[in-house]
Amino acid sequence: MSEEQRRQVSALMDGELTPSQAPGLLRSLEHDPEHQALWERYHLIGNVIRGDAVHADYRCMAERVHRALEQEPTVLAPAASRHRGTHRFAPFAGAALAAGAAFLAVFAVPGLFNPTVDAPTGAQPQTLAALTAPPDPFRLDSQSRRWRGPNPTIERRLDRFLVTHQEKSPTSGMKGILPYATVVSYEPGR
Amino acid sequence: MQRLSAMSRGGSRTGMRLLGPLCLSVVLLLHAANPAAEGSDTLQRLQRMASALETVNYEGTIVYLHDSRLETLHITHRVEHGRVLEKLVSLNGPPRSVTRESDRVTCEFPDAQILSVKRRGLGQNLLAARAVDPDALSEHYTLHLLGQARVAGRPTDVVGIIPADDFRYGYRFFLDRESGLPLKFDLIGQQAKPILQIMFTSLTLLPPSETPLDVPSDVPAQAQKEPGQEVNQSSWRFEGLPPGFRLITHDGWQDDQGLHIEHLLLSDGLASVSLYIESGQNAGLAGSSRIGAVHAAGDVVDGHQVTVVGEVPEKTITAVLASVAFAGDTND
Repeated sequence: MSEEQRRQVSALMDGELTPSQAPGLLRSLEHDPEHQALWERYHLIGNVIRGDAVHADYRCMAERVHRALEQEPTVLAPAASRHRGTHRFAPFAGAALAAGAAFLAVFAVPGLFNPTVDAPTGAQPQTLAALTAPPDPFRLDSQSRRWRGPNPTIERRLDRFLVTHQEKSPTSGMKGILPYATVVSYEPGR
Repeated sequence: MQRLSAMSRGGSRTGMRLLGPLCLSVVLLLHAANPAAEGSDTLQRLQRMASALETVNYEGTIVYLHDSRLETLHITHRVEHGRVLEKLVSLNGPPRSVTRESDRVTCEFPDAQILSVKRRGLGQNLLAARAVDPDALSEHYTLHLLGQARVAGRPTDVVGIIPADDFRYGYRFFLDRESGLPLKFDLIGQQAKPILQIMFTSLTLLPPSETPLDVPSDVPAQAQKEPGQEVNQSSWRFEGLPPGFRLITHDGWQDDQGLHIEHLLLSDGLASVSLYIESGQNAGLAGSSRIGAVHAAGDVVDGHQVTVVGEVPEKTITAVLASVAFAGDTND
């Protein structure tokens, strides 16, 4: 697959594909497994970045729907057209359209599916959202500051004041360098 | 006593076995009945600790616990060519270190920030630093031998310094019997709860230096001054200081921007508080802050930025800041 084709898939997802490019790309998405896999990957990445729920059973949904429709008995409508030559393709076209609709519904509009309600196994689906947004008490404290409160300029000034204080304190020698454990320590961010 | 003597004369092995513990018990009872003796003994242990921290060569790993926050640091202390070289390196979190030499302290913080401070105070003079004044100490603290404990696989004696009020912290030192080094240090807050703990998890005693520590014989001029003498030289006065705290030194210097900074150091004989007074309009600390058990507070007092720093409870810092006032220019 070319870089241009990847770019077109990305543009389609973002609603930025030009109308002239859409028919060809949609055909590729309908028939080409490589395009379908790319479409799925891009949506998976988007879901993870947004923190949306992702369920493994939703993968390859279009293919499974397609297969299921092929196995369904076909109900033929009464002939209404004079162009009989097209009727022999009708069942396949219907199945393809249905599969395409299912494909777009699952992957292009993932928000319509609520995994907590529709999970096929009935169990809580594993969500990547839980990994990217843990409860506050479990988060690593990346915003730690040395002094609690002041801005970095005042913090540096306080550092100098503290070290000077340690050195000039009459009993600083009594505890050796141990008080400096505080100087190089960090305060929790919260 | 007669029974003890009889057993001893008879050479009874049972008596000999009892004699040692009994004598020890009598000594301990006499010791316990004599608080002055206990205080003196405790003071000697503290003096030995201070001496060991400067003269013993060692390295090890320490853990630092404060506010449920645990940090690990590697510590090294050597006397080389008569000079002390100490280093404290953080082993977790952003890289930080402190290197303390005879004449300078250098702190390395994250983002390549370096802070270097010349050692020029009382702390530079080891003899002065070790000289804990027992009289000053006894006014606001009591000394106790709290028992024995095992730290880093080594037996220790535990010494407690109990504060008389809540204007100062208490201390608990776990002193290595072999070297005298404090293998564990607890800073005790209100309700006798530890608010900060530092503990060795491993300690290696290194061979002593061939050259003994070069202790300067000349005590810094400011250390020779009588307490209170410098109060008259300062443009600042105190009203309503926390009990026991008094001004012990006063000096000043110019910072990197040429701004004059006045430094006043208060102490109760053990805990100390520094006031930094800046005459310029530089933005300083407004309100309170803290790091570990060190509290700081700042405000503008009579047109000067005043910042108070010390390892004391917040109420002490607040009281010191509230007590300072400009007394007028003494150079007039």
